[in-house]
Amino acid sequence: MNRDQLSSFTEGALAAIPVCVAFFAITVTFGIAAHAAGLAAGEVLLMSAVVFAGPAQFPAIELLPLSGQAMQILLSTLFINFRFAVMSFALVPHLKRVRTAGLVAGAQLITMSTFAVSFLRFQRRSNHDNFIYFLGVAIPSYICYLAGTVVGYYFGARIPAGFEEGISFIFPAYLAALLGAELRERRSIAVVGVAFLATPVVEALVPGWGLILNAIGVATAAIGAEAWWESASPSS
Amino acid sequence: MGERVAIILAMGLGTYLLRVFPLLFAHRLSLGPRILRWFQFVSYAVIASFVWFGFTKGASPAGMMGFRVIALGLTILVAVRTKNALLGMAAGIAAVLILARVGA
Repeated sequence: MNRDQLSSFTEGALAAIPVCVAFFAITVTFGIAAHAAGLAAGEVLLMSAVVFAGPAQFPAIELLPLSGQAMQILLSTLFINFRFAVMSFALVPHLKRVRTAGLVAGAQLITMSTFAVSFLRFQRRSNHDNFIYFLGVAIPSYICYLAGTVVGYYFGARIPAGFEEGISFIFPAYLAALLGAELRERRSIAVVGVAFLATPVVEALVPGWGLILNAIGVATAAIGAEAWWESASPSS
Repeated sequence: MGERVAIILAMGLGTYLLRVFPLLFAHRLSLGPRILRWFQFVSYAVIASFVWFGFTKGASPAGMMGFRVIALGLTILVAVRTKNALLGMAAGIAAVLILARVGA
């Protein structure tokens, strides 16, 4: 790793500090829940390592101890994690110079959080070290994710009472702060506002699909509005 | 290998394929500016939707939602003012903990 790459990796690792805090807190609660559901330590750690996606893991720990739930677990995992395909598509233009082996290895580290931090940085500044920056964000985040799982599983019962509300607020606070700190363009801010407000409506109409359908609908409407605006405004 | 381990590995494999396929096969496509812009908007919208899901999920008592609205507003305000996500997050979490304690 040369000096530029080390600098990009360090920049990513520093940007990952909020992700690490959020991941650690989320996976501590996951470890506690998995322990309470009766899963073995090896199963819990394996799930965090190979799935690396909290929203899919929480429902699975409820269903795994029951028999005959394999298909339901797998289908719900695929539906919940379908967003990763959209995120990977969005990263493609920024990772064009990366070799196939790098993409195969790095793909496992794409999550909502590692994607959000990297993608927002690529919008601000995109260069040949994008992948190194992504690894700088993702590798410490992955380590924190696994560490939180272990801590939650073995030591979760010792966490002082009264902190549950703060722990459950870490993830949305972190993503909202990320958007607040990074977004400057008015149209993108409008997309974020509309998507936030429309989510409960779409989720109520199509339960379980609110996230993806809402995002696709809002983005498509925004593109249409933008095209209409540009064609109606001769100066642009 | 137990059934549970097999299910966990299958969960991991399915998730991994969702992550890796677009990276491998969309890599050589030349995407137009409109498509790239669409992906940009989709990404912002997904993040915003996640904020909503996380925002509403943990607030069990009815009174907590009001505290969370205030804390989320403070989170965004601090992040926008300071351009520092970590500071915004810390302000929001501190606010929700203090408000929950005061309101309890």
